[in-house]
Amino acid sequence: MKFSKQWLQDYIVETLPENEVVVDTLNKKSFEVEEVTSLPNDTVYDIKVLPNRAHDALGHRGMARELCADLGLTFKEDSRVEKRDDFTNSLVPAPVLSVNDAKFCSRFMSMRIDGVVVEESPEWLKTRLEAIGQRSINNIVDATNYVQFALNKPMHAYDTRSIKGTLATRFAKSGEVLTTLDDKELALDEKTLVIADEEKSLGLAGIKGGKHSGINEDTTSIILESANFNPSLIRKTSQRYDLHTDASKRFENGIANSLIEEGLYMTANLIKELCKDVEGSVATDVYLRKDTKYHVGISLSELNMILGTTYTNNDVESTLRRLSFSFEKIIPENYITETYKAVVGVPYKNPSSMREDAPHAFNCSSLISYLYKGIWMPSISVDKYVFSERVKLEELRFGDLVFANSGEGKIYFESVEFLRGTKVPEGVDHVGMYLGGGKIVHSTRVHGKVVVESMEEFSATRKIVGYGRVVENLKEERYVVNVPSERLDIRIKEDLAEEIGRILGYEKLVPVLPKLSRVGLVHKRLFYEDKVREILLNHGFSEVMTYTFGSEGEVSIIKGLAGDKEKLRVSLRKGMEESLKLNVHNAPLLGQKVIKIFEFGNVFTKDSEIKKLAFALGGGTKKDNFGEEAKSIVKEIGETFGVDVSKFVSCEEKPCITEIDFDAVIEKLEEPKEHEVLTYQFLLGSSYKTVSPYPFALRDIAVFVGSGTGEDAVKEIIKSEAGSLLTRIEMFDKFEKDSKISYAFHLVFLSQEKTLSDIELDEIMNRVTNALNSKEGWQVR
Amino acid sequence: MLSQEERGLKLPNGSSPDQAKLGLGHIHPITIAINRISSIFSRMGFDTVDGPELENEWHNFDALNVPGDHPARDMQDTFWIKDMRSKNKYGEDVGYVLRTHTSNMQIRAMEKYVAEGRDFPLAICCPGKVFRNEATDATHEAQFYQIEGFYVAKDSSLSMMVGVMQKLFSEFFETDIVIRLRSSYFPFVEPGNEFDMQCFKCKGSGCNICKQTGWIEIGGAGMVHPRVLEAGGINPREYRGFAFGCGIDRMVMLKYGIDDVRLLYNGDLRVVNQF
Repeated sequence: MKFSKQWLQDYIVETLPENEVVVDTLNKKSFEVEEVTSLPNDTVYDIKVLPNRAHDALGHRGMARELCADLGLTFKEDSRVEKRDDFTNSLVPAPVLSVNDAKFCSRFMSMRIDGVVVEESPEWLKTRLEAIGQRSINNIVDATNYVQFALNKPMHAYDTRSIKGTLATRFAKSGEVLTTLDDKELALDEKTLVIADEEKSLGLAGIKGGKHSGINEDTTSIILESANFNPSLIRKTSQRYDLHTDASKRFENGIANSLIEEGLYMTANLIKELCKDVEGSVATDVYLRKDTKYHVGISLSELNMILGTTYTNNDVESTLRRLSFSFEKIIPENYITETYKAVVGVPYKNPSSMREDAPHAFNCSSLISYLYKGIWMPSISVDKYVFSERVKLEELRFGDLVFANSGEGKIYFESVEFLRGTKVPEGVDHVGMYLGGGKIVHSTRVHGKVVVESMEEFSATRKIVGYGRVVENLKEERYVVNVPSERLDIRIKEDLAEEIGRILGYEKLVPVLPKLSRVGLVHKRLFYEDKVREILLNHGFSEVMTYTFGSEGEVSIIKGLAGDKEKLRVSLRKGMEESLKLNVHNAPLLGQKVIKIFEFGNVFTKDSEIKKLAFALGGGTKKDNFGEEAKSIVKEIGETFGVDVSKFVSCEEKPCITEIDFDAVIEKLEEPKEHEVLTYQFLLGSSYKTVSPYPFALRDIAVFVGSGTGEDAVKEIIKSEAGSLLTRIEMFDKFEKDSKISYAFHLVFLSQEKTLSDIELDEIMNRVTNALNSKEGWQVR
Repeated sequence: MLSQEERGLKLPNGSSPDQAKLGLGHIHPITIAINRISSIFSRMGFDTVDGPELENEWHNFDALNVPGDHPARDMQDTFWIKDMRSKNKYGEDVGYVLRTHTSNMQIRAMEKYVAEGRDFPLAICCPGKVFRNEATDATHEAQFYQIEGFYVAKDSSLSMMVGVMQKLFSEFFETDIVIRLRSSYFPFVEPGNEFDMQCFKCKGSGCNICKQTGWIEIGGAGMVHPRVLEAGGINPREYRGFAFGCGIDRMVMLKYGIDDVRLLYNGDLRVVNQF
């Protein structure tokens, strides 16, 4: 998303530092800045916000908060997000809202504003939106857009005249058609959530508005929609219609319900600024599924263990303040001691959720989660059993969990959410907390409330199946952070470790190595592959890699890169053929008469993936007996492994390609006992020569020289005259006649820049010929 | 006694023309790199593992904390397989993909460790071919190789991860390399990072290889997300892990100055014969 530096500055007390500092800091601590653009009075940063921060940082306010944490600056709020009554008139009818299911729309707010004048936006607003690549439409639409990019809260405005009765969220009826703002007709299906009035659909919820209810030049009254939708539903709908908008992007990642009211008030307050004489209704708020407060805790030692650091309490506290995270310091033992006493007698309720019902009602497991504030654990009792460390009765101490099987109702014999499916043969359906002195606190259906009982009383109506410990040291202080509502990404202690780690700076990590007193072993397949490589290399074969994709195969890709790349290879043959062809063509350039190649690669059938080995021979002359050579290699591989390889081999004669089911060959071989792979000296980085995209050219030359003259002397002259385009020179014939020697050479020419023309080559050859002829007693034939 | 490295020296050292004269073939640079990386990891005590390229959705995504309807799935362009489905270990219906990363091996390695009752630390590296459904050019291929380093133990930390990375890259590039973490996001790690290495050529002063920045972007990394440990059958209350991954092709291209990744996969001996 594009961010305007001026806009960010609105939220920051101090002046933002120069661009270089902003960009470098964001890159290291927060997000990748992909582009920086200078405008006459502003700078635009294009910042890549990933899904974990799409809840808060896809808006200028969130990004400004981030910069404040990164740079140690002071955040200041835009007071427009607050409710103002200065233009509320109770005579303006408040919109009537209805939500079909809180699961799909957790909050829906609305307000009607009368007396608006739709006109061009003022300069400041146009400049802001244009800076970040948005087109200015009119003051009302611009106000909703401004809020979207300020708060990360998509907003929508309807013309009041176009809405009949209640504004509702509902699923579309089959056959319903919606014309979108950009004149596209959408045939809606029954899985599509829409915003509708009593007569018709007005827009795709959370994705796009409809044309019918849009704002026109003559609009004088508007209804604002500020709502929150189910991320998964929006994502599916947006994919189904292939409609991806700024709004859908935000909703599919999920946003906090606190933004619903802030967005509504900010839009209304902005419209009040833009059109002076407006009157607003009171806001309507349907808030059926309330966001819950998250408290996430971490101790100093946990932080330092995750990061591998030696940070101090001071480091942690100053960083949490920089992040504007409010926190408390809790010593779990003290906290539990004080808290359990306060909840004795609170009613039992099942099911109940710690976040929604505590401290007014508990079931057995929500009580435990509540008492362990700031220490993560799974919610239901059987999962707590699997999560916690088993301790014995005689080791039991304050804070340990006591698990029981009541023998009645639903007993869990495996874990549900945590380490899902872990078997618990003893069965668990109840948990209490040991307080020492033989006492247990638990919330129980038997008494209908939270009680403290003796072990004997506890086990009178249920069988104790085990004891569990949650943390080693209950006296260790923890930082329990009251997570800001927009930060949906902070839920576990590792999230806090990241926040603290990145703000303090990852450059402070001191690298250490794990102390493993062993040598690592290599997978059997890789181990034996290298044994075969050794054999093939000694026979002069070189290794190639070719494509997994092709036009033949049993397994297909749904949407491949091209029509001829939609199948997964079932054999390496095709790749070998193509590689042979290419390399036989290039044989003179390679200086090879025979091309010998091999490949190890996975091939795919309907129900298996197999590692295959293929090797191939090509080029050469009729005299070469490739078939024999292939056979002898197969035999050698078999002898090396002591396996009859022949039954896993398929051979082809023209071209000569041998393919071996390598997995079958090594199936019965033993696991490697030591680390052994082929290693040899690396090329120096500079010695690799770029492969020319242009074709090479061949020329031959033969010359008579005096009987005492060696091959090299002739070569030297040819090389120095031919220059750098001569890539390879190879003698192919030599004979003596009348005390003269004839040498014949293949010359291979290649340019990195162009296709060499005959004219150029003739010139070079003339130069070479003249140079050779000018030598006493030499004669080019 | 010979060192591990020396014992592995099965081929004569030297330049490529000499090898041709001896009638010896050439190894693909990717294999050279894999073997080299495997040896470096081995000396640190890490095993080298291998696994499937055609992977079920659960091992490639869900178990790595990337559920079906999560926007993080868009972070990787995926090749989905037609008409191929199976059940994951919970009996849920899953589809198949060409693996988008070698991180599927994190889950497979943990499952194996747990099933075999092996002792921790779990320390592995996984080299392997991965696939991305994106247009190809000189720096992007639809198939390429990745290496993943993965360590699960009670003492695992981000600092230890940086230690392992520095050792790997220093030995691979044969010069002391500093690794730098930046904050980023991958659903299977928390904290999540991208990492850069200080340019092996100019050592940070700026050159054409590092585009004058002194740093080269290499890959993704972080502490294994507790949910990923759980998916592998490991209790995150007891163990932590770190994981990092990067492109072997990229390491090879940087090391040798190969300018077009596609040259590595068209079976061209003009490239291979230089090694």
